This record gives sequence, C-alpha cells and structure tokens, in this order.
Amino acid sequence: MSSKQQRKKIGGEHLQRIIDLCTSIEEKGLDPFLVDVEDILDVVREYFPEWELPEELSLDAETIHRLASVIKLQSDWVKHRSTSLYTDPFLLEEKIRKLTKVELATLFLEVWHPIVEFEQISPHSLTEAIKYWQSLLPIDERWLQIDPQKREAGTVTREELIRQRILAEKTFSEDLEAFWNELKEKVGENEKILYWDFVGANSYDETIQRAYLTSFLITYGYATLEIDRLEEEIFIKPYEEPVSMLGKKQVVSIPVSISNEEWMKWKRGLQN
Amino acid sequence: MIANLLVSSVKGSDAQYLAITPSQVTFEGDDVHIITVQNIEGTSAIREVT
Repeated sequence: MSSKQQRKKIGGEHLQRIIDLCTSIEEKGLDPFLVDVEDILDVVREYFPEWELPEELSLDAETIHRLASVIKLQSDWVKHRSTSLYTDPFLLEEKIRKLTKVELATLFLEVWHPIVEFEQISPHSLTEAIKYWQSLLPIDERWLQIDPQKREAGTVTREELIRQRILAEKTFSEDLEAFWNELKEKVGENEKILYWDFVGANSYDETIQRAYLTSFLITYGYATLEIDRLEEEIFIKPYEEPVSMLGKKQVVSIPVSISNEEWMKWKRGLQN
Repeated sequence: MIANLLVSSVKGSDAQYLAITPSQVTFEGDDVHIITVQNIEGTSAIREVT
C-alpha cells in the first residue's frame, strides 16, 4: 500500500470517528460542548486535499453535516442558558445550602398556601333538609320501647328432637358410611345396581332422603354412576375404597329427576 | 365434626361456652345442654333438651 493510500485510509477512519461522536451526541442528548469544533475542522481541513473519489468526498460532506448539527445544539444550549428564567441547578443548590434554618422556614411560610376544605349547601338542599326534618315524628314516638315478651322454656326429649330432625342421631359422615355399606351389600357380586332399585323406598320422603345421600356417595368418591344411554338406565357402582376424583379427570354433574311420578312408576314396576 | 371439635376443645376446663348454630346438631356426651328456639307461626318456641 502506497503512502498516499495509507494516509487516505487513516483520514477516512478519522472522519468516521468524528461522525460517530457527533451522532451519539445528537441521539443520546450528551453535552454538545464535548466536541471541540475547531479541532475537528482542522482535521477535516487537513485531509480534504486527499479526497478524489465521490465516496471520499461524500464522507467529508457527511462529517461537516454532523458537525453543523452539533454546532446547532451548542447554539440552542447557549440561547437557553441566556434566558432570564433559567437558573443553574448547581447555583440554586448552593444558594439553598447557604440559607439558615430560620431563613428557610420563612421562605416556606411565604410560599405556603394551606388548602382549606370548603363545602357548600344549596338553598334547594336546605329546603329539602327542612322538609325532611319537619316530617319526622317526635323522637319519643320514633324510639318506641318494645317490651320483650317473656316466654317459659319448655322441655323436650332428645328422641323427639331426633324425630323432628333438629338433632342428628349420627353424624353425616357416619350416615354416609352406613349407607355405603348398605350399597355394597345390595350390590353383592353384581358390581352394580339400578339407581332406582337402590334409591327407591317405601315412602317418597325416604326415597328423597336416600337420593340425597346417594348424591354425596358419588360426589365423595364412595361410588360412581354408569349410564346406559340406549336403555336409558342408570346404575350405581360402589368402590371398595373411597376414590378421590379431584384433579384426576373432569367431574361432571348428572341431574336425576326424583319426582313423585317417577317414584310411583318405580313402585308400580315393583308390584308387577 | 366442627361441633365435636368445639366440645372436645372445652372439655375439662372450668369455663362454659355458648355455641349458636342454625344447622342440625350432633353432640356426643352428657355435658352439653341443648336449647332449641323455633319460630312457629311468628312465635319463638324455646325448649331445653332433657
């Protein structure tokens, strides 16, 4: 490589660095006075006689263009600082630091504008309030004393309350366990039993009670339902051990109608 | 289960506790007094279980 080419290469790198510096000042908002304009102009001037090719001249023009943008930023900065409203933050900080506590407190007091809550009532609202007040009954009429009626407490036996279903003879879980055992006994070797054959009882009330308990047997994983859609039959299949279905598969609700007509139909079927 | 838990937690202490419940109750043991209040046609019927 000749010395001229070597110089061109170094000059090109120089100009590229100047362009990068000016671009970063513009884009990142850095202090434009980081750029020494005179120095840069000297560099541009120094290499200018070397440029012959269009791309070399284009790089030179690009450098001048970027430098001009930085000079504009410098100009704007000077204009801003020269306005009367501008106060240098460092000067301001220094000024505050030099103030005594009393002077600082006095300054705060001078600029302090306390916020006062202010509520207004309109003449219309006032009229409404007076109307309401006048329509009120006297306080002694409003606060009527209610005489509590004294009642004698009676007595009742535990058995009576159990019969009325206020007291439970066994806990619900005990009831459920007993019901589960009954289901297992009734199913025997067959694995499953027709829903109505298990739930159905001599009275409709009892049938409802059994259907209620059955729903808990299924929900709590003591048993499951098998539906034969072709024959429209529902079977109950007890598990040997309670099975938790939580998180294992999607749980679905199956509505089963236990109307009085359904019960009568089942009862007639039994008799035939 | 909750009722039994309540009863067992106060068993042996000198204190007496009052538990009010709107649901069916199942208490085991004789240390529990049960008072029922039923609203029958607008009148409160109070009965103590003997």
